[in-house]
Amino acid sequence: MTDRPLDDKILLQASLRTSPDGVYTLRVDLALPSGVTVLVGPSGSGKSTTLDLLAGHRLPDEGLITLGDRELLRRSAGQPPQTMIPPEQRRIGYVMQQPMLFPHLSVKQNLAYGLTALPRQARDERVAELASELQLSPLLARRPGELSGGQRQRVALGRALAPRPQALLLDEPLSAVDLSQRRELLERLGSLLAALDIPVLYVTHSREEQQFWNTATLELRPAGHAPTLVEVARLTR
Amino acid sequence: MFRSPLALSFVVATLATLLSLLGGVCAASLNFYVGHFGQRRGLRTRLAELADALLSLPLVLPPTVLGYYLLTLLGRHSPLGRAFERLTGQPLTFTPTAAVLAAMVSALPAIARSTRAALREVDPLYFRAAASLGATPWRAVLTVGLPLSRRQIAAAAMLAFARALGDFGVTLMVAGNIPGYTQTAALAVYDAVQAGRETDALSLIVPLSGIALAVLYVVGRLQDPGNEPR
Repeated sequence: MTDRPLDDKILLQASLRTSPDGVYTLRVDLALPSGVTVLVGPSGSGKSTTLDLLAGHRLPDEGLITLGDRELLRRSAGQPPQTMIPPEQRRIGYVMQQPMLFPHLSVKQNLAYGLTALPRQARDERVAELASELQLSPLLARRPGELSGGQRQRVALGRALAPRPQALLLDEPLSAVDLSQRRELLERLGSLLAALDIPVLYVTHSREEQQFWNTATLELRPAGHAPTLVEVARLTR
Repeated sequence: MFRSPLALSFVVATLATLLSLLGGVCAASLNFYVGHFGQRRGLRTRLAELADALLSLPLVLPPTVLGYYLLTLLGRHSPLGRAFERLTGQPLTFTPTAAVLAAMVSALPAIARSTRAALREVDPLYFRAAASLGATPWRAVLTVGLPLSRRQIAAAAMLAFARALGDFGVTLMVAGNIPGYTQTAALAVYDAVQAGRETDALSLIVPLSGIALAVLYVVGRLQDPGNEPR
């Protein structure tokens, strides 16, 4: 990873507050330039919740999310959202802890799921391109049930990248992968994500992965000693 | 049209099952859509709950009561009945068509309920994955939810077929018991037993029981998670 200039255009910005059960409050305040940013924090600190908020699967109590010049969410406390772009229109790729490949579809169909807007030929070309980048070409006809953990996660990554998202969220993408395959997959991810010019938020609790990325790290940590647990994430570069 | 009550039953049950499959899967998908994505879209989930209760009514009401409702809805003096008669030149009630509708009364809600239950069992993370790939909620239901529910839907359709094959009460009320025209196997058994024609009755009872047993066997296999190719 090379150091990026500090004047990188900031692409994904979020300033959110959510209190799902009224006791626990999560505050997220981040500004992600293109490139990989690692998000770490103890389990239960709200890492996955942060990703769900960014992806649009959860609605915060208040806040603002912008991606490039698009406003994805705007909500004032106690009001219905003024802007709420649904997840399918956000153009944010999301690779979850479990790959969640569609089990009734082949690898090829999984990769092409997000490409329905393209004409057939362009779709096939994009799938072939991703398959060769991720070394999935011999597996295109298989079902997810016939793949190893590492292969599945590669398909999940390719599927998320296929529609050319404007940001990518990775939630512990190696957690469902055998230890023996992790290093190899991590290196493949490294070269693949380095080539992308979009903000990537990489959630992990592994020191090894954190060190591998050697990049800006956000940390979710308890703030203060108030009875309600407040978590703050802030980008410090 | 159909000399043999068994043949008539078969055709009636098949048509009723196919139509119920179409209607039941549509109703269940709509209901699931409102329940799962409704809050986000500001749709009224109460309405879906009411529709759900209405759809389940046929599973608890006596067949005679259902038959009465159907007669009121489809009879020669009802708007629907008159429209049908104007279009086809014959009344709707006391025809094989009415027998199909009668068999659908229990088949459709059964399929709708099973389909909805199956959709609710699908891991919601699949719907999230589909949404993050740009799929609208409807596309996610059609391309992910329903295919993942196909075994349960197939099992429900087979059970519905078996039930449609054996419908007695509603069929008697709206289609009558006209031998060679609307007399299905279940009705013919009743007639045969009443008239003491034991052999005739058994010639229907044995195949009806055999079909039911075969259906239950296949349904059991479909529902066995060990056979799930997921």
